[in-house]
Amino acid sequence: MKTVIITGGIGSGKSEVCKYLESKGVPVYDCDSKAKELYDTNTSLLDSLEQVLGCKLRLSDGKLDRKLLASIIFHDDKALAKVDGIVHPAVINDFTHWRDAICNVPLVVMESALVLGSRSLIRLGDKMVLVTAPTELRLKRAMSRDSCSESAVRSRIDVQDRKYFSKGRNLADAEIVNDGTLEELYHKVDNVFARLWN
Amino acid sequence: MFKDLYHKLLGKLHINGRDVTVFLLSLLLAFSIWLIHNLSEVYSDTVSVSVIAQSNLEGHAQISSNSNAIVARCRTTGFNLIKLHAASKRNAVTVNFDNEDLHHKEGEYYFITAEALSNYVSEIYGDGVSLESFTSRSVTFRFPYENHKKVPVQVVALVTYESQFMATSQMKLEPDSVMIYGEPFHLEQIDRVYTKSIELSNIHSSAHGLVPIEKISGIRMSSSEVNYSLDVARFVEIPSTLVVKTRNVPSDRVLSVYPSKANVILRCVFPVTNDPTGKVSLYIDYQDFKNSINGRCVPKTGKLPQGVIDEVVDPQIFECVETVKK
Repeated sequence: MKTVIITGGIGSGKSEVCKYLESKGVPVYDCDSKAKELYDTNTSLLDSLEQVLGCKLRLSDGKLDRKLLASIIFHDDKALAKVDGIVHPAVINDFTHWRDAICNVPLVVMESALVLGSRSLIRLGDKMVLVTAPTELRLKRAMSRDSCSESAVRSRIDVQDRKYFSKGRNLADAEIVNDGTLEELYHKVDNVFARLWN
Repeated sequence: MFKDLYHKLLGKLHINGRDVTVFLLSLLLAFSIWLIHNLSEVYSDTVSVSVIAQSNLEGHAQISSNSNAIVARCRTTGFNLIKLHAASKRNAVTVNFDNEDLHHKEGEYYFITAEALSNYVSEIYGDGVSLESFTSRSVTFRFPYENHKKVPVQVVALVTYESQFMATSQMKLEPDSVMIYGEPFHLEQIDRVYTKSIELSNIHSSAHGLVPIEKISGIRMSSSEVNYSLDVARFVEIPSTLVVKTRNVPSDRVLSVYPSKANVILRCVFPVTNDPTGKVSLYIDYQDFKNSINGRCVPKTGKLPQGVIDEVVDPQIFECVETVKK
């Protein structure tokens, strides 16, 4: 069974690519939402995070205070590296179990925005497809989806591009520029997947 | 049993077995003619070809990082349609677009309009294809930002010589540096490029040739190979004993060297025209002594006279002691 990693920055349209693949019967593992799920279900993960960051990260209901964690790691690369060092192994473990439980499919897909920041995550994939789009288009998509201000989305795009995509994008085996309609995107996905193992 | 039944049937119908073979061959021939005729006819169909764009945009990579399936309604022969449908599953075609046809969208993104694409129909779909219409109004390509810098080429060589032969100088490369092009972050990490390994065994004469440069993923180079040349000469060994001198010692100091003499073997290009032993000097620089650990120094030879390609000094290390001049 082959694993294809679909990566791309915020608003690039990687989730649309994954939805399309899912509609075609390809199992998709969404790394980012699975990581969020792990924060809520895996208490030892939260304990480890609190230990390395040296502060309480839980809300009164015992769940992770996501805003607090985001504010800590957003401008602090060292803290981000520490968090990644704990979260990525947990995600890899979860993904491996998920993949092992799937039978009779030739291909599974892992969707992750931040895979380019982790060699161990990259190694899980046989091929990597990068989804990109012009910045203005990404801004519009992310703003309408997340109801965020332009400056907030722009700074997230800048951080992602600087940390992950500027350095790692030539690791991708194929790239999809998602600047058109959904039909065009689906056509591009079909086209790229038809050639991925050529 | 089936064979018997077949023969019985042919007998009943009064048909000779050979007639059936001829009939089937005729049928096959007729079908082939019909197929060739039909495939030679011109049809209209939707075809898709994956294209990678190539251009010379200032400050951008020559090749686009993405490929795009360019879908169009075309008129062409049945043969061509079969070829095009088969090609759609193969690798992308690289098409060289004029800079004027690529319009800047934003940052690294450029698009080409359907109107401009119509000038590249034969490059994309091949000869004998006439375009009816493109399905998209424009196609976008990403040309990553690209920078360039000059880096030296480092030779990687494994050379062995026949007895009494050696190189008279280091291996020379031409060109000895190349221009590399790539994304800025990638260039920052590269300070040299390497040749593929040159393996020369038991050589007894000068060698030269072409050697490819090791490719680096995501990097384009101004030259993919370089010329190498290695001058090799036969040598003879001339032994001599030299006094180890000192240099740059301050006037109020004395630097004593132990032992004070060294056995030196000079390797000279054969045939030797004149005795070079008197023209070679051996010395220890005061600065080397100051930088040394416990005063143990390796002596230097001055500029070797013409014809001397190497020297072997015994012992290799000398003890030095500094005293104040009285």
